[in-house]
Formats: sequence, C-alpha cells, structure tokens
Amino acid sequence: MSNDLEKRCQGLEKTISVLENENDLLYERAEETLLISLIADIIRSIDDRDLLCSSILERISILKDIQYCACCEFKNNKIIQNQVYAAFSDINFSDSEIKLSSQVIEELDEGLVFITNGLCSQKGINIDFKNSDFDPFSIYISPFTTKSIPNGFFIFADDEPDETKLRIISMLLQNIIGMAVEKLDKITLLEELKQLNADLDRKIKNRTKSLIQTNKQLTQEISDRKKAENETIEAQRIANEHEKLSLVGQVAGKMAHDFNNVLGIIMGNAELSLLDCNEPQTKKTLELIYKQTIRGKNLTKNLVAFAKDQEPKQEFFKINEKINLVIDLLKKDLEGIELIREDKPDVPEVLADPGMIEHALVNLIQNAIHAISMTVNPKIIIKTYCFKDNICFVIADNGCGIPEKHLQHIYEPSFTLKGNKDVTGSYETTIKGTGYGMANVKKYIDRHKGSISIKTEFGSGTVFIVSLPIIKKELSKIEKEELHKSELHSGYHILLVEDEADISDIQYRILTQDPCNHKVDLANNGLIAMDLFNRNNYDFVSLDYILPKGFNGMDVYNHIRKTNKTIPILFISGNIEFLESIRELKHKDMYVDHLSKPCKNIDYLNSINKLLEI
Amino acid sequence: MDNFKTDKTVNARGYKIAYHRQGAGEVILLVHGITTYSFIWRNLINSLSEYYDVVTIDLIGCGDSDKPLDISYSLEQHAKILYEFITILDIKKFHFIGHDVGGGIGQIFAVNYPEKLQSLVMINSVAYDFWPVQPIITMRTPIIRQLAMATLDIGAFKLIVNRGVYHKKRVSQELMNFFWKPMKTKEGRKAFLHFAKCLNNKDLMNIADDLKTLPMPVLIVRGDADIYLSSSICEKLHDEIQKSTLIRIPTGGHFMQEDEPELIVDHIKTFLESHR
Repeated sequence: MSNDLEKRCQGLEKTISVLENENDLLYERAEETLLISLIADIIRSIDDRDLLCSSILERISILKDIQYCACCEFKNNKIIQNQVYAAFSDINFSDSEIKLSSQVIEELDEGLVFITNGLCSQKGINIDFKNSDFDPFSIYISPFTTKSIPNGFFIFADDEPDETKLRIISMLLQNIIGMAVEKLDKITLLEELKQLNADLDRKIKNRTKSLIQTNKQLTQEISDRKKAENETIEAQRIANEHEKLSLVGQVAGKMAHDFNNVLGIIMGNAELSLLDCNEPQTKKTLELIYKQTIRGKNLTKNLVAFAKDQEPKQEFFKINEKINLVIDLLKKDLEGIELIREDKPDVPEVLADPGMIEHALVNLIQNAIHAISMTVNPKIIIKTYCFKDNICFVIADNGCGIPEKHLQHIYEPSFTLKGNKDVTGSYETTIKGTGYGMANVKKYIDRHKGSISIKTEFGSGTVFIVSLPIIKKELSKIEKEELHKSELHSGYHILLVEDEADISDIQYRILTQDPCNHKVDLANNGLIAMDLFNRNNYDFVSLDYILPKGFNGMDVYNHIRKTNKTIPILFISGNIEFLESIRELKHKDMYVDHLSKPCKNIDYLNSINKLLEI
Repeated sequence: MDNFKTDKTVNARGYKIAYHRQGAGEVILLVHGITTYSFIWRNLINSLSEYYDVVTIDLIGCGDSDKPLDISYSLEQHAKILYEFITILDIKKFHFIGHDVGGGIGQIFAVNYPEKLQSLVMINSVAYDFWPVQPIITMRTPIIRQLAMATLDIGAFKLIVNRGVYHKKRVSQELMNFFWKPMKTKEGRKAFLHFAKCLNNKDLMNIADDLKTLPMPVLIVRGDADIYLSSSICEKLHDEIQKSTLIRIPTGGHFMQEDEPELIVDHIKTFLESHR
C-alpha cells in the first residue's frame, strides 16, 4: 500500500516535472513571440539607425536576459561600438574598446562565433566594461553587412554560467539580426532616395532657372536683333537718302555756281541796258528781267545752303535776340501785320549754330508772312519759352494754312505750294517759293537734335513749334547727386580736344569741378592735341572730330593709337560722314565711343564713365 | 491627489533621494515596494497628515530619486539609505509603514535599528522565503519575467496592475500613467530591472529569528485578494512576531492602497492610537 502510494507519488512527480518543462517551453515560446513582435513594432515605427539599434538591443537584453548587447563595426582597423546596451551599467560604452584576435576575426569571416565557459579573453576577445565587475561567461558574435555598415557585427555577452543560454537563442537572435539588417538597408535606401529626390529637385530648379535665364536672353537677343535690323534698315534708308541728297546737293551746288554766273551776266547786262533805255515798254521788260534774276539769286542761295552739309557751329546766344534781329531784317515785309511777341523771361541761352538758326527763323517768318498775304487781319505770334529740357519757339499765323494731304511733303526739298503750285489761290500771285525753305529749316533743327512740329488748318492758320535741347553750362544739382550715387570715376588726367570755345568751356568746367575733379589739358586743334599727347600721360581723350588747321579728329586718333592701343577715346561730332566711319571703328576698337553733337552734359559724363570702366 | 509629486530631495550616501512631507505630529514614513513609487500612497497622505507628520519617499532607483546601477538595490541597502535619510531629516523616532518589498525593508530596519521605530506596519509585505526570489536564476522566475516584459510593453504592465487591484474600475488611465512613467526612459527601465534582480530573500531569511522579538508593536495588513503574495506570509509573520496584530481586508488586492485607502488609514490610526 505504502509502496503503491510511493509509486503513484513518483508517477505524479514525473508528470509534474514533464508539465513544468512543457510550461517552461511554452513560456519561452510566448516570450520569443513577444520579443519578435516588439521588434517588428520597432522596425515598423523607427527610421533612425541609432535609435533602431539601441531599441532592438535593449529588448533583446531585457527579454532574453543578456547582460551586454552591442552593434559594432570595423572601421579604419578599429572596432567601433555604434550602439551598446549594458544592463549592469548606466555608463556610455560607445568609446570603450573591443579587441578581437586575428583568429576570432578569421572565424567571423566564416560566420558566427561562440565562446563559453569564461574563455572569452583567452580566445582573444577583450571588451572594456569600464570598471564594471561584469565578467562574461559566454559571448556570441554574429557578423552582418549593410549598405552603410559593410563590416558589422552584433555581439552578445552574458555572465550566467550556462553554456547553452546563448546557443539556445541563437536562431532567435539570427532572425532578429536579419530583420534589423533588412531595415537598416531600407533606411539607407530611403536616405539615398531622399537625397536623389533632393538632388533631382535641385537640378530641376537649377535647370528651370537656367532655362528661364536662357529664354530671357533669347528674348532679349531676338528683340536686340530686331532692333538692330530695324536700325540697319533705317540707317540704310537714311544713308540712301543722304546719298541721294548729297548727289543732288553736289549737282545743285555746282549748277547753282554756274547758274549764278549766268544770272550775274544777265543781271549786269539788264542793269546796264536799263541805264540806257528810254523806251517805256522795253524798260518795263528789262525791270522784269532784273527782278527775276534777283529771285533766281535767292533761289540759288537757298539751294547752295541746302546742298552744303556742314557741321553746325556751337555758340551760346539768346534766342529772342536772334528773333529780334530777324524781325528787324524783315521789317519791310512785316508792315501792316500785327506782330505779337510772348517771351518767357527764364529762357536760357541756346547752344547752337547762330547762322543756321537765323536762316531757319528767316524761312519760318517769311513763310508766315506769305501765308497771311490774302488774310484780312493778318497776325503773326512769336513765342519763346522753356518746356522740360528744351528751348522752344513758336511762330503762328492766321493765314491760309496747309491742306492736310500735303503735310507729309512740306519738308521735302523743292516742294512748294506757292507760285504756279498755288492751285487753291492761297497766296498773292507775286509770291514765289524756292521749295528749299522748310527743307533747310528741318535739316538745321535735326542737326541740333531738336524737333519741329506743325499744327495747321487749311484756311485758318499755321503754327510751327521748334524745340532745341538745353545744353547747360554746368551740371545741375540733381545730375551731380545722381553722379555721386553711381560709381563715378574721378581724378583722372584727361586730354580735351575741342576747337569751339563755348563747348570746350563747358566740358572743361564739368570735368574739373566737383564731383569729377579730373585734371584736364585743353587743345583747340589737332596739332596741339598730338603734341600734348606726346608729352603727357593721359588716362582719357575727349576728341572733337572737326578740327581746324589741317588735322581732324581721326588724324589725332591715329596718332594716339600708334603708341597707345588702350587709352579710352570719346569722339564728339555731328558730321554725317563721320557717323558712318565711327560704326566700323567701334567694331575694331573697344576703347572708342562716340557722342554726336550737341550732347547733354550728363550724357557726356556717362559716356566717359562707361569707357573708363572697360 | 491626482497631481502627486515628490517635491523635496536630500542627498544620502551621495545619491539624490526624493520625498514629500506633509502634516504635523508623530512621524510616519511610507515606503513603497517594487513596480510602484511614492505615488502609491497619494490617496492616504491627506487623511494621515491630519494627525501625523507624513513622509513618503522614492526608494533609490525609483520615482524621482537617483538611479545608479553601480550599487545594489538589496533590501539591506535600502534600509541603510533610509537610516541615513531619517538622520539627515533629524527624525528621532517614527512609525514605519511598508508595502510589498517596502515591508521587507521595514523588517530589516526594525531588526537593525529598533530604537528608531515606534511601530512597524506591513501592508501586503514580502517575508521569509515565501516570496519566490532566487539569485542568479532571477529571470527564470515567472514574476520577474513578467516584470521584464512589462518594462517594454504597457499592455503587459497593465495586466500586472489589473491583477493587483480588486476594484478593477479603479485601474484608470491616470493610475496607469503613474505606473508607466518610469518605463518611459531607458534609465528608468534599467533601474527597475536592476531593482528586480537585486531582490534576494536571503536578506529576509537572515533576520527571520530576530523578527520574533521585535520590541515595537507590529501591524500586519493583508489584502485577501492579493494574488501575487501568498497569505501564508502574513500568517507566519503574525504567528512568529509576538507583538503583532493581523488585519485582513477581503476587498484588498496587492495594490490595496488603490482599493481601500480609507480603510487602511482607519486601521493604521486605530492601531497607532491603541499603542500610544
């Protein structure tokens, strides 16, 4: 009985022990499942390498009760501990050393390394546990490779004297390491993708930017080219016109000369015959011949003036004084006409060719007188005033006016509405036109960079408005301020070549005064200019083209370039021939620029600055 | 006391020890066990402090106290630090109230420094070798394995708390926040596991004989719904300690401070008054 009981007890104990073992196994499995699921959670949620590694190591250590878990890599012949979890210490282990013997490293090349029974240091594994009394009984090392860590290994160390502890869980550890490596590579790929995306983004941005830039440039180039083409066409047209006019002018000039001789002979003989003639009918005929020869003389005078293409002189004078002079000249013709003058007091002196302006005024006032020849209460109004940067004068009449269809032709040479062209009966029959008056006026005004406009109504009157640019004797306050703001070149040694005293006076003044403060030497002819250049060291040459005494601006230029290829030279000229040649010159010589007369002071200084900046 | 916090610290043996003190009168020291910290007393402090000078402490490695890993968190060590703690606070005599392993620390303290204690109260306390803690094979012990899992998984932790509370409705989010707070940092998790591994019933076995003749009155409070600790513990304690009183609370789980705080306060008050 007691034997039976004992046997049954033994049986039950056996069963209990089996059940306990099973229970343990189940526990192990539950724990492993939990560990894997916890690690899967981390892998899902963490995208930071260090955090990922440290979290995995901690979970392995806690759930599998492994005292020391680390993720290391071979780098520059050293072992670096990227992440460490040591259950026994709160010290940072990342700078502690791990040393592996060459034998262990060789074994690692083959695969896993297991060392147990406390033989770790004997087998060549030395880990600095930083003054801790932790002494590993077993060590398990598992190598791995990821894109970012080519030579890595996980190391697990435990001090529990149980040979099988680490071996039993090696499969589990390998699973976890596999998951970790996969995730680490995924992080690297994601980073690379991110980088590539960023690069692509940057490239697209840069490319777009450069495309926009190129597009802009192209648009600019197209518009520049169009502009250049238009300019070429316009230049060609003007050149053709000039050529035509120049040819006509030359022929007309020569003809006028011969014609004047013929007229002179006719006029002389008619005058002589008049002295001897007592026959009234013949006398009348001779007088008619004499008058007509005078008319012919006027005609040739205008024709010659038109044909001559000379550069305007530059002198300062008061426009209303010039008007007074012309009115005085035409005093006889103005009899019986109401003349109204309106001169604004603040009109400055105009810088212009006095002869040309006088000629233009004579033509304009004479036209007005002719236009009111049939008007009942003839009236002429002459005004002078300033508008913006221009000096303006207005000549208005209440005469016949000009039919609209003719307006576009009035400045053409030889065009006239007077004499036998007067189909509307607008003019007194004795009035004849040469057809060169308005053509000359237009030419003079153009040469001064001025403008002329007309307001007219057929049968009611005509208003001519002429404006000429104001060339000041000094820089204005605003211009000075603007110059100060820009990067102004000052203190240079400049050779100023200009024969016209009024102009050289201004140029000398603005160059030497504040804010430019240049040192300026003045030459009023080519010879002096070349001599000064030989004897001094200049930084800049301001060069008039038309110069007296045999040497023009081009001669001076050639002389300078013989010895100095880079000194900036600014040509100043209004000569048409020169305008053509300077274009070519500018292509060959980048240190040359050109300004046509008359030029504004600020433009003059800006051109000098631009050249000095090259 | 939802916003309970330890608001004071002292430096004992070079480590920062956090505590809270409130009330006036005889001093009561409330000592928590494992998985908890001073927060476990929050529902008792206000009532107790109406009559007593109540001090509640975070043991080293717990709550807001320092968490060094280079010293042992054995019960013996805790008792030593507590002695230093009350010395610094200049507490001459006091009532020791310990819960769980806090009760174990109380036993060691009472044996080693009997002159300091006016009385010892143990609530669901560990004692002798009933508490199945073995050194070295620590992790093979189911409760420790559960604790390890609990550090990583709030679900597992909630299971522990849930099983330790009788009135399940009291396991609130707020309570879980208190429990889970130390597990939020690696430092907290490491210290917690270090504490668990340092538990060694040898400390309690060594003083088993000395308990019998403790000079101060001893109150043993048992929550009958505590599934973690066997009722044999309180029975043996009551049997062996001559001057002991045993009170059983049927509706008390392991964390009975959550289940029956008023009842516990009443029993303590009655006990302390009867031994005045």
